[in-house]
Amino acid sequence: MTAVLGISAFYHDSAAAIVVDGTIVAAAQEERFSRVKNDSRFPSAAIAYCLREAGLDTGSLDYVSFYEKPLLKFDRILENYCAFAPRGFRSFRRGMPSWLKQKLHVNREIGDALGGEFRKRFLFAEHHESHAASAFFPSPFEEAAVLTVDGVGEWATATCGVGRGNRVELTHELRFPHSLGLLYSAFTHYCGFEVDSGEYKLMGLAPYGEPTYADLILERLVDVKPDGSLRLDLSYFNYCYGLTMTSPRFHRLFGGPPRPSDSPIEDRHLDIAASIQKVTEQILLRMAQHVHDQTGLRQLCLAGGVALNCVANSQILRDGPFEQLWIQPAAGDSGGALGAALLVWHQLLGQPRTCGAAGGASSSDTDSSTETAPSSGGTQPMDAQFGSLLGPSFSVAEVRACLKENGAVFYELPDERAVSERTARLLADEKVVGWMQGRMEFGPRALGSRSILADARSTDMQRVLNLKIKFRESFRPFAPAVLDEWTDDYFEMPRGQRSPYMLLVADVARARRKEIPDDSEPHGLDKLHVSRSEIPAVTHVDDSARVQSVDDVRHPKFAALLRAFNEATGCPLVINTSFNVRDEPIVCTPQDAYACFMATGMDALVIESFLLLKDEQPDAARPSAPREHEAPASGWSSGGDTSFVEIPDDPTPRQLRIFGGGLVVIAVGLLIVALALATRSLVLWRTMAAVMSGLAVVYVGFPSLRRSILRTWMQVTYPLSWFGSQLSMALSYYLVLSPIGFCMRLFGRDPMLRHGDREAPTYWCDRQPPPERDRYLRQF
Amino acid sequence: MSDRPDNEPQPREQQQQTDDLGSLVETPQLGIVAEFWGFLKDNKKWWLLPILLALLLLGLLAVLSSSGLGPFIYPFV
Repeated sequence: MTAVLGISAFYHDSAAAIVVDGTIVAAAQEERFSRVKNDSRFPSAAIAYCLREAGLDTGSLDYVSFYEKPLLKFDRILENYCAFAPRGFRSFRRGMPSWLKQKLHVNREIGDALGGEFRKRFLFAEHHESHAASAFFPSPFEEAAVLTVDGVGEWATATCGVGRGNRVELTHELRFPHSLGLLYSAFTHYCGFEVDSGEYKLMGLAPYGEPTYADLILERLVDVKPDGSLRLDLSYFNYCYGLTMTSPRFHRLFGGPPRPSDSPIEDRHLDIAASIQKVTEQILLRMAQHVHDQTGLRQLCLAGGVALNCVANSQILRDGPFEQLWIQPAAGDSGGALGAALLVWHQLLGQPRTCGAAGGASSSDTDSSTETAPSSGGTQPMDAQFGSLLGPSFSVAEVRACLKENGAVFYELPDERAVSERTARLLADEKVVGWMQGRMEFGPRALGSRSILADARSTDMQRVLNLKIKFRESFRPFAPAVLDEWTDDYFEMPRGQRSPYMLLVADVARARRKEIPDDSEPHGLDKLHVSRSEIPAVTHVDDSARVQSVDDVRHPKFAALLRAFNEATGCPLVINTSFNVRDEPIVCTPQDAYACFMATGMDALVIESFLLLKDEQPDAARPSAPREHEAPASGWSSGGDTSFVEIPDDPTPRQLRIFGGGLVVIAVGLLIVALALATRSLVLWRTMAAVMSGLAVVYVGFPSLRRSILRTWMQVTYPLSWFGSQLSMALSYYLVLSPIGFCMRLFGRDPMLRHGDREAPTYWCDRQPPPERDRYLRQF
Repeated sequence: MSDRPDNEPQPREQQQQTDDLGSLVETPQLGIVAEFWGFLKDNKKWWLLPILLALLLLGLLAVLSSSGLGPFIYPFV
């Protein structure tokens, strides 16, 4: 047996995945355990879960693989500062402490998290290699073109190449700061949404507007070649050296400053959203055409954060050269953990892939595991992602214990059929149902294991769900989960492809739509109030829907529920939205589910075979807004800690020992100085020696006071420490880094490629061939 | 689709690859200074050295700060 642990961490959405003998046994994002949305901290809880699911301890692991190369990324950051210094100090002082304290010490971080029991060297894949591996290796294709697009990894912002058998080879790349992902994020920021998490809101906003700015974007902001390669005009952007994404020049071009997140959305923002969405689709389509021209293949695998743009994905499939498309469901950085692990198994260990029929996933007590046959109605062979149901599940006994502990009133239904039928009846009565079954999803989409479900035929359901259940913006659409065999009956799927991971959009079938006369079509956000089809709650204002096709192989329980709903109502689909409220992670445990159920206006909750009705609960409090989390800064310059000094809430024994040692040494030193200078009557030295000696005696003599002394000392000296750390960073930046950067620029060095060449045929750069295996031991 | 496409290595090669990687990961872990040195050497980016030295000092400061000695650094330096 060979077990490989993959880890992604420190930027956003950290995660862990474990692959045992080539089978993806478990994968999960840290946010689901820590309950901090897009948690970027080291995924200790996710790792612990993965090991538990695989039945392993850390000493049993054969390989541990990190999803990117920290030194290459650090190199890019230093080059970036050199290119713009003396500008950029605010970004430098914000980002550097976390690099020096943590991000450059990945070996130590992983080693500590594994309890020091894993004594081998760690492996480091490149960021986009990890994305590419996560896209190709679980896909159902023996060979496929591969395209990865995100904000930035180390240097690359997009890569393309080919996957064949058990190898992925990336041949071309675009390099920072020229990035489609960052371009989209800049507009996300400008329209008032949070970078790295609000991009899908911008995508949802786009259909309300007209792409009136698209030509302006292409003319001024970005030079796009016919092959999709691009260069940005950096004078419009601030992300290389500032704390925001866009520059004053950008704001002048688009008619004002960025929208504050709590201010109303204007028509201008709708048009800007529509414009950048259109430009993104055009660029991605050209990139897809390019990679097709390069490889001549008919299948494409996609990953990277931009691959979560399901509208663009669908356009690639509809208007592009590929017959089939497979997108990693965890396309963002969390999926990098999975890719890093699969890369070791296939590419470094040379183990073969078996396509079209995956082996069985290990699962403790769920029935979502084995995939051996193609989906009944689908046109694609089965992949090896196991429906992306790779997270924890909970036994009946665990759920019962949790509900009893909370004093919940619940019914235990006798079998799965009863669960499906009872839930279907609730949905048919227009109840909103929390639905938690089996293993949790890996990736940002709820796929029927941690979902809130409702009747898509209801005209008022979108408003109710957004405002009373999810506490989120009213313009955001909901997605339908439809029985696989009914997909084509309700949706015009591009090339008839299925969408098991909710990563494609399709128009609602014409026969299901209502005719809306042009003169009665409202304007802007008022479009929301028009009922456009017989399933209005999932029909977006452009008649599209983000479809999830549900089959019996990937998700039998969810398919059974849809079948029961179809029998009860004649409609084979329901609204499927993630089981969370705004700005919170999707629920993981029964306790999370119960808490979310009680804090919102949900009518019923079904956890495994247990049913809870809201109006029977003893503490059925009125719905309240979600609690505020103190999420780590997720802007461009991640890590808001600008000082090196942290005052620990609970100092470790090691910190107490070191502090005590330092205290004694300082006290002794001061005493010696004071005695040596005694004849000169230096009162200050004597006073300091007396105070420190007294403090040292108390610290050594009264162990119970040590924590208080340490914390008090750090609090008292914090202003000085803060000032000292700022001064040190300023000296490093202005006296060392800036002069070197200035000299490099003087000699014509331009690593940021600021001067786009409009005459050049392409901006794609060649990549080095895949490195030797020993290179994966290095952090660069 | 065959279970073992032509371009995939045979079991003996796989075993060799497994053994190679297995022995590679048994070698001693490199420290961060050695990693940086290797990076500068491989990429011929010697001009980064002064910056890295300055950051090394900052890093030492950070390590001392977070290890409990922080309170003694700034008041007495």
